[in-house]
Amino acid sequence: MTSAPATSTDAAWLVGLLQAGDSFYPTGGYAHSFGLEGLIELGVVHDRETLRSFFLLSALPTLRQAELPLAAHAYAAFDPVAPDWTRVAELCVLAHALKSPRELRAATDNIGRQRAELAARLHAHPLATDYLARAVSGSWPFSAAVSAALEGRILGAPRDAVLAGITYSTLSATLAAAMKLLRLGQNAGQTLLTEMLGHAPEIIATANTIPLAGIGWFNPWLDIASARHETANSRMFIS
Amino acid sequence: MADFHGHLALRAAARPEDGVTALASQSFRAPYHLSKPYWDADTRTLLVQVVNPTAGILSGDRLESAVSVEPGAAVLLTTPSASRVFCMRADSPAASSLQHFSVAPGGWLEVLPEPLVPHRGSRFHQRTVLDVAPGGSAFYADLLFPGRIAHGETWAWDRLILELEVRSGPALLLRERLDQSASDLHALATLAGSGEHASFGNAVFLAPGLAADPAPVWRADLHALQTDGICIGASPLRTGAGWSIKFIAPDGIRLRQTLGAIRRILAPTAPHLACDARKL
Repeated sequence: MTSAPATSTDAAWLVGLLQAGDSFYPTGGYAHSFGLEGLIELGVVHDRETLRSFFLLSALPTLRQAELPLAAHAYAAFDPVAPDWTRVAELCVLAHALKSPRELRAATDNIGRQRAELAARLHAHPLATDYLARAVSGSWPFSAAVSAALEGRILGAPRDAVLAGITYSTLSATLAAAMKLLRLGQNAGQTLLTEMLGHAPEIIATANTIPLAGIGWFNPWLDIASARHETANSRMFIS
Repeated sequence: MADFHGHLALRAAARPEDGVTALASQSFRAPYHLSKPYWDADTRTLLVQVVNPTAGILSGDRLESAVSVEPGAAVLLTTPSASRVFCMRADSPAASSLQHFSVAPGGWLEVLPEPLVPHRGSRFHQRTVLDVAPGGSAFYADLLFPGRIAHGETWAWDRLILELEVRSGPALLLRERLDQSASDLHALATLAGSGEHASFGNAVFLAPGLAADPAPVWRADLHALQTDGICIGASPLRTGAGWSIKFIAPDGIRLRQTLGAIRRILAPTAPHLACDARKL
């Protein structure tokens, strides 16, 4: 798998990725904690140190072994000259099959759908409109990682920049949820985010080496917490 | 030391005259061996025990098994003892196991092996495919111990990959891959407060009609098992045709007890689960 060169100026795709990674971008990510609320309810995560451990032991490996490899393969499949729609469909299904808890699938479905529809609306690119038409007719589930790869291709961004964007938006969204759920200040949050983003080059490099058959990773406690969150009496986040 | 290339193929079918399940065909090669199957008339389930007469799984072992259940047949497949994966030299090949289970419409298959116990320095890759046709039913449970607890040797394997793929007809419902180093999984167990002997259970349950009820009463009963160090969560798989049930216990005894409780809770929905795996 190789990264295609940028098809527009660096500034053009760079601002596009910044826009897509901003919390102002209406993908609905702000409504999800991606299982973290459940883990807090279980008592696994309860302060800055345990949150840091959660990022190191769970959030980063999930990115490295599942979300980023999915996006890397989707990026290859969304070749603007000859899209591999069979592979795209396979990746959409795989993105859901990798998540046993229903809420985690709903989260990636909602965010992925919003992001793909936004990409089509904002950029009027044939790749996006074609993807949406095929996804509807084929009942493909949506995936945040697959839609991020689609958007990256539309913007002309190189693969690793797309993966960096996914890394940032995933970590920052989880951290934003954590700041609503835990006693965590702005500075502590940014310090943690900076530390985790420092792992981005390493996890992106590894993600690019993972074959389709090797995609997948799960944290048993996160899956249990997410499954229980479905029936929680009170909750702040959808997932 | 010779490598084993173990092979097991079983096909279970219902006899036309009385509906009793029998092994219509079987073939196996060491280290697999079959005990004489037992027909449990109470639950109308054929209990089949797969025995590994060797000490356990060794470097270079390649195990392959294929079990199919035809319409109207019901099988409980179990093992009499834990599967130990022994220490391997760094320059020797890893061990692997490929398991394929298929269930036809109207068939029932329960796979209930004793726990996997990875020893210090072991390397093992298990890939399991559970293929259940619409109208078929299955319960599959994998248990993992963190090592030889009684010997004080835990979280010491070199590489452990456990893959589980579940299909309902052409639909891929689940593809899981547990691929943590011993130290990383130990660190997660420590973070969660599950203790030094944390043991894991991973089960899936598929049956006709499950998709019609996204909030079955039994889920609350399963979740109520979460007491005194037990963690458990159940969630519907994609398409709703099956459920994932994950559970973690502070030790192996509690893990087995939890699995027993799960089977009892689900038995009114899937009566074959009332079959006692220890009758042989």
